[in-house]
Amino acid sequence: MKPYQIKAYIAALLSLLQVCASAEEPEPFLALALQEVLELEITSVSKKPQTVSRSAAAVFVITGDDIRRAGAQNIPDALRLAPGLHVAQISANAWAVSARGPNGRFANKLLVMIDGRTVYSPMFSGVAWDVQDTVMADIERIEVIRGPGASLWGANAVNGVINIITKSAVSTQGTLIDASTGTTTQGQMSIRHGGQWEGLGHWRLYGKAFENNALTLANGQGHAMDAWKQQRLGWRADLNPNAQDAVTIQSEIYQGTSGESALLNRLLPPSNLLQGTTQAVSGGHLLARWQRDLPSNNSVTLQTYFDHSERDWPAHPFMRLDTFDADLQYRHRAIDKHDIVLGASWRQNQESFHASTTGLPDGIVQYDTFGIDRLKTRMWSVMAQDDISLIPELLTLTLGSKFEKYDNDSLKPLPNARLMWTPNDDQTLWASASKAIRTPSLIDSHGTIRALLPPEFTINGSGLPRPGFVEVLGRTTSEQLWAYELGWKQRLAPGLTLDTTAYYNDYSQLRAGSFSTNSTQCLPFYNVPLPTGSPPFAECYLPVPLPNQYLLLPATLTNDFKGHSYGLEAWLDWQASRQHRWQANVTRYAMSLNTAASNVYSWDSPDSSPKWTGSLRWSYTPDARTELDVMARHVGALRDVLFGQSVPNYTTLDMRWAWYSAPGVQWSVTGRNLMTSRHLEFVSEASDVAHTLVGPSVILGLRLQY
Amino acid sequence: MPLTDLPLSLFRRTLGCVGLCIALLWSSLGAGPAWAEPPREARIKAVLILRLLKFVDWPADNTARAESLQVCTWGESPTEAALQSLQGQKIREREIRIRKLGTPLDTRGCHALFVSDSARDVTPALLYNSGSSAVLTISDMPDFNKRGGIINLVRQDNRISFEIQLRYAREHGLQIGAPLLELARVVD
Repeated sequence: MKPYQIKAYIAALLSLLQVCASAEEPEPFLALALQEVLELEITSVSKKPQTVSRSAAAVFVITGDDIRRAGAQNIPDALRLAPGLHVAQISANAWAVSARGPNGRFANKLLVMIDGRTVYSPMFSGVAWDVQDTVMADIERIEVIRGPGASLWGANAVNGVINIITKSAVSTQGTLIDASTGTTTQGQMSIRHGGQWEGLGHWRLYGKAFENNALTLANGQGHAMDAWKQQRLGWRADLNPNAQDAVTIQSEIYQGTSGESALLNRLLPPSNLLQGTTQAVSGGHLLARWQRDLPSNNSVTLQTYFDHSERDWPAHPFMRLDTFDADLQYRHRAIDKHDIVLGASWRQNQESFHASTTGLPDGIVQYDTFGIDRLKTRMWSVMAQDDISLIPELLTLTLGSKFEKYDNDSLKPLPNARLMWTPNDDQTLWASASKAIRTPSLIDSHGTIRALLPPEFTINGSGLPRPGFVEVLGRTTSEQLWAYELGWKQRLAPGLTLDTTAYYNDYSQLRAGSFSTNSTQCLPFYNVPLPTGSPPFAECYLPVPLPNQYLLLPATLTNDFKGHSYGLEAWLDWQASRQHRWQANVTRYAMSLNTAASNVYSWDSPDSSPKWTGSLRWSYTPDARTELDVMARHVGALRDVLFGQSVPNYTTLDMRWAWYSAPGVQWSVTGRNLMTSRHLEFVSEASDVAHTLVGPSVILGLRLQY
Repeated sequence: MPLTDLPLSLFRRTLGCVGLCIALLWSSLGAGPAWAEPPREARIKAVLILRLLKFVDWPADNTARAESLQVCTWGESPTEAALQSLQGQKIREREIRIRKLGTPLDTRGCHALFVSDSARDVTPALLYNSGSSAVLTISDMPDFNKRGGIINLVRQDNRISFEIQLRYAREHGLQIGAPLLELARVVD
């Protein structure tokens, strides 16, 4: 390098230093007017924080206050507050949660993240809700986005995204003790303590433990053996080493047991054996996030995490999953009228599994097995999104796409376009078109499911004389969706807002099971002479059964189904006065499926979500010490969860009354599912869980904060 | 430089800056003591508090003798620290003096009183004491204006907004300017 080049280089370096240093002037915010200060964004895990009323998406935010006032004991409880989300309890520790579409214990088109860490399992494509938990008082908010979010969040954000965001350690200083007990729980105890490191930042340490009671079986045999116990310990530190940098480090470990009344499959009658089984679950994670504010309001965020989870599930596999994820985002706002986010991420999943027979009697058929015992999958993606202010304050166009490469799948673009028109402060109109995919789970790509066929099942018009199993071999690729949405948000009067969305979803390559009765076998095959022309499985139809006989229907998973759904979601929020707040919502949903292939059945049942749901919520704050909340919910009938199983509609009432006896001392009484008798909310589509009833419950709580 | 190259060069420059800033950060973390800067949220709140004061009128007897505006604080929090760093700024020609209270009963001379979230237990005593004088009470603790406070800073949709309890403001003899009332959620 020649001397003048070195000089030029040093000069360039110095000028860059100045650029960097320019952000360190006394207090840049002081230059802003009041209105502008109010517009400053704090920070968020999401790629770009936006106000709800000015976002071109169907977003609902459940606040920490909402969660407290609902008396939510766990995350699914809290999710019942979000309009357009169908939350149904299957057992004491299993839930089906979905938006805009097929629901199930393994609802696979809803992406869920906690503090930027995905908790959607690639092993079975879904969320194990029994292990997603934290101290409820530490949840800052839950963002529920209905509709695809794949261009920002990637694969599996098909019908919706749920972002659970916990409070910064700054806002959880001091000690909190939350204890509760009631008819559905022996007890729950959460303890959190936060402190600060002088000049560096804040931290909190927390623990939560609970022991929940079993529910009741629908068949009248009483106790559903699905008790749920868990212990969890974690910490979080939010550091601000200087004015530009924000560093978050958090970590958590948990362990517990989730009981289940399992219908265990056997080859010999009784083929369906009802037995209580226990899943042992454990796991933990470590996450670090660093955000730097750059000059001109730009910022860069680097996040990385490691997550480990284990589940020993009798008659299913023992599963272990290790995920490592790194994500880099850069936000550029220095170009006039543009707000650009660029990102790149990389993820590796290491999965291992083997058949679990823990605590089972002999002769039980494994419900699902995998053709391999370990697998490493890798995913990488890049993304770009630009919010273009076409006409400042009036018309904004968002264009963006993620390009995601999942394992051996081809590189998939996941584009989205959104147009938002804000004619005035009281009104937002928006329209969008976006694409999303669901990547195949391990079961879809390498698994075998062997499930007992329900007694109603027929082959060539006749019933099953022997136990019949379907054996599904998974070899599928990604499912696809193009979604089109229209939204209208309107402030009708001071304190009264309306938020409505209409959507049309066009699905293709949906997962389907393909089987033909020609391949049905009667096993073991005794080679009994039968009339010529008899089907190969005719031995199973002999009036006198031969020993150990059963029918086997081999099937393969294909991508043969197409479908479309549409719906309308409306939410009304009225802060009538300081004391009264009313919220109401109505959701309409319909879906149909079709296929060109024959002998295929869909794995997604359109009627596993209700056509109509609605709720009305009244929050009453008569004085500073008292909170009263009443919520009435109606959930329409589920006409066909899978294989013709249905759930009747129900209307129920939740109430909570809370009282501060002193500042920081709150007593509460929460009643759930009042005014109804025990009822079904859902039946597991994996037909191995006995139907369980959800009934009225009362929980007493005490929350101390000092 | 052709116009079309502009975004790219900006991008490159920013990337270079990112790299350099990262290097600077590491060196600063490794070598010297870290700057004790309050987090962004606290800084926003502190500046917001100062901006609010501009639109408040105190009763004549309270203002006449004061060249400065005294903002008192009680309790410790990042927002309190951020306020301290704004010592000496000017609002409507009046110098801002930030004073940390030694005892909660010493609110004499305060135009405004910021109560930290961490001071929840003593809040009723504080508010009772400031009740007789024209003190604008401000806090970011939840439900502050249900406990008798006047201005409540609340975090909403990733921004800081504020609520004004107008009745208490009137009881304290404070005049809240129209621009504030337009931007605030007024509770009465």
